Amino acid sequence: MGKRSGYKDAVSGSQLAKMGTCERLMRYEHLCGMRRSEEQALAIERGNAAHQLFHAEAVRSLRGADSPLPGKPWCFVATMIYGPDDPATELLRRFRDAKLRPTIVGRALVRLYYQLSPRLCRLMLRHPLLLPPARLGLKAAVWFARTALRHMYRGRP
Amino acid sequence: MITTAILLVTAFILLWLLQRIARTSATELDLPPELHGATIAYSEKLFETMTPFHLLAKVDRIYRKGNMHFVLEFKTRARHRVYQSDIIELSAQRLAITGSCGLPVSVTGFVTTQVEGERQTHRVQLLDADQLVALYERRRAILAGTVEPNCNAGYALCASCSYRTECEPGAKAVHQREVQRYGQTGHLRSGG
Repeated sequence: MGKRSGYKDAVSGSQLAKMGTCERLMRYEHLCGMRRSEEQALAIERGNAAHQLFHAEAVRSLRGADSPLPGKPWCFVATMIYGPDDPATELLRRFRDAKLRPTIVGRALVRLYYQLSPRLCRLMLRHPLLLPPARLGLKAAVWFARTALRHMYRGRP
Repeated sequence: MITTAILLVTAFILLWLLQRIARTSATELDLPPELHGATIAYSEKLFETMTPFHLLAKVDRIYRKGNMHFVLEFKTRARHRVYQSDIIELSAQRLAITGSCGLPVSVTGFVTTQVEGERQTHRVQLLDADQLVALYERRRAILAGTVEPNCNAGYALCASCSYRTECEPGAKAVHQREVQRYGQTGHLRSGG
């Protein structure tokens, strides 16, 4: 009851933040509403779309932490060879999310990989002789992913 | 023949990735040391508190590391810059989280700016509850008309402000900058 009755005095974080932009603008917008140019409206739309992507990344990450098995796209080959909870599999997932997903070419590679890898796994299960070279290839991929991510961390101030 | 083609494709991909790594440091995992090993606790979650004032804040992300939580705000911008408004927004989020569920939230917050797909994460020091209360009271006083609001008087903001025609200090700031840039005579000539 107390909560409901107090809503006219409630302030949101973004409303309060406008005090840091310009107090006069904050007052104008409070009294007369927001006036947006076409350019500003487009920028807001772009921002909302980027926010959705950012949130989707978080949801993927949350799902990964809570339930790595169902519903989440994963590295089929690494999962088959190392197991779903192995640090190497997790490293490859992080590499995929951090380096491949943000770009068009990267996403295309991921998509291609997800199309091919189940067949590749079936092939390896049918022909176990293919497993040692696959392990070797994965080791190289894990090394590369680790180096790339380490390089990224090192780049931070 | 096939092996050579595969090797060439792999080499091309590796070169492209190395180039990207060297060129950009902005990705989801490109987080400050404080967040290394942290997990995302919440995303796009609304928090509400009644103390010290009625505050609602939607948080873009909360990272959890050990017992400590870190708030992160995501912004799409034309350049990688952090503004005072970002710090206030994050501080409000921190207050709303601590007030609503008592989670320990660090005084260090993060702003991730995205410019043309490239991301950078900036570390900021957040305001404390007293500073936020003072800001809230000032806002209320401005809206009640008992306190005269300050003008940002920054050219970049005022020049694109939709209330520029009504706002005298803002129009003045734009005019002054134009005079500085084009000179008094040039400005008058163009005006006349």
